[in-house]
Amino acid sequence: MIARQFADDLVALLPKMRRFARGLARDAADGDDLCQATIERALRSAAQWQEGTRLDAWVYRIMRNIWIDENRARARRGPVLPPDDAAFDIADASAQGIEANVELGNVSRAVAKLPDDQREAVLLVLVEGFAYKEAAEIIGCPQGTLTSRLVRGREALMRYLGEKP
Amino acid sequence: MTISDEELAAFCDGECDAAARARIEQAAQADPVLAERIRAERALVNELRDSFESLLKEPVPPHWETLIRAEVEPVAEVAAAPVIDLAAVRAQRSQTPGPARKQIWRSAWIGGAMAASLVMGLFIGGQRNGAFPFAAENGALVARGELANALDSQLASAPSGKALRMLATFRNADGALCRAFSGEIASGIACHGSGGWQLRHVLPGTPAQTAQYRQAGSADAELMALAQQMAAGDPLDAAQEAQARKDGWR
Repeated sequence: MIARQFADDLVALLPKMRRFARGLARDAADGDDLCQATIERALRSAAQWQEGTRLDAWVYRIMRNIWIDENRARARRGPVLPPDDAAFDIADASAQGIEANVELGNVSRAVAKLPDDQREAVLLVLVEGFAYKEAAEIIGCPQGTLTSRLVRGREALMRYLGEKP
Repeated sequence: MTISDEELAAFCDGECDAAARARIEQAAQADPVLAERIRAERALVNELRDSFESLLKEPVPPHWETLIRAEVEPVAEVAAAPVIDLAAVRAQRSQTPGPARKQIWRSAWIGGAMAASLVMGLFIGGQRNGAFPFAAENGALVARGELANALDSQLASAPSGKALRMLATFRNADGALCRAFSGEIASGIACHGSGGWQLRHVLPGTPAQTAQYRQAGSADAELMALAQQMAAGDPLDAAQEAQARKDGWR
């Protein structure tokens, strides 16, 4: 059982949750699955949310953890490849899938090509507008780690988008 | 003076202190390369925000909200439905055999269950030819004929005197609209998909026998229990059900 206010706030967050999920998963259907799993876990763990703290940061942390677990499980099931190749293959295949399926701009395709750690940093800070400190807390990494991922993510995006020669 | 990428990013993201900000602003005035880096950073962020902003305008799947609202403490619903006697429901539930007894009924479902068990069904013919009201199609049972018509047209909120009655309409975890129905030949739950109404549960129907009137039996309670298990949230209310029919059960 949850409080009505909690339900209202969570419902209001749904469009943003869905957007973040899609950004992480790089695919509309996978993103919606991730978002629904997040809603279910947030409802089950509602008692653990502390009133007065940011609900969005709490929910994003849940979503990110589910996504990480899912990726690990998928990696265990999949063939063993050197990490760099694997990351490249997945990013590439997914980017092509997005291209084929959904009408997405160059920007989304460029974001989809980023390695996972850079992508989540870019999404949290540049798209969702979290402060460095908040984003680092959601990811569970030191702030310095977040900033360097962010800088590398930005550089890669500029290259993909031709902002930088 | 060199500005590191980290410093520049912090500057653009509003993460640096006032002193660093002033220093970078001043440097940019004298250094066109730095000014261009700042412009490019800002253009990138704007492009990113614009591109992802459009995703917020897409309506989210409606069953997500249903999923959330179903968990809210049901204070308001009970107050809004004073005719439901919870003690009577509990007493009735304790007499129901089988797994239905273990069900914890959420308040919005109680109305349907009560209606299902209290409605006196008037039997006036129908389904006399005894044909099965469904057919196997691509590995699924699909409603046909009278059953398909009833699923398409009858409302659970407006009980008819017909032998085939709709007990409840709800969305399942996949977001598909499903309907629990009760009839002489078969009762069950059907969900709407591309090929029409696919039967997810089929139970033996309740034959009319000789009595003109009957009280809907425990089969209906069993169906409602199955429906509650399948449902993502509460059943549709009268207005939502009418709208769903208007929208072609999509």
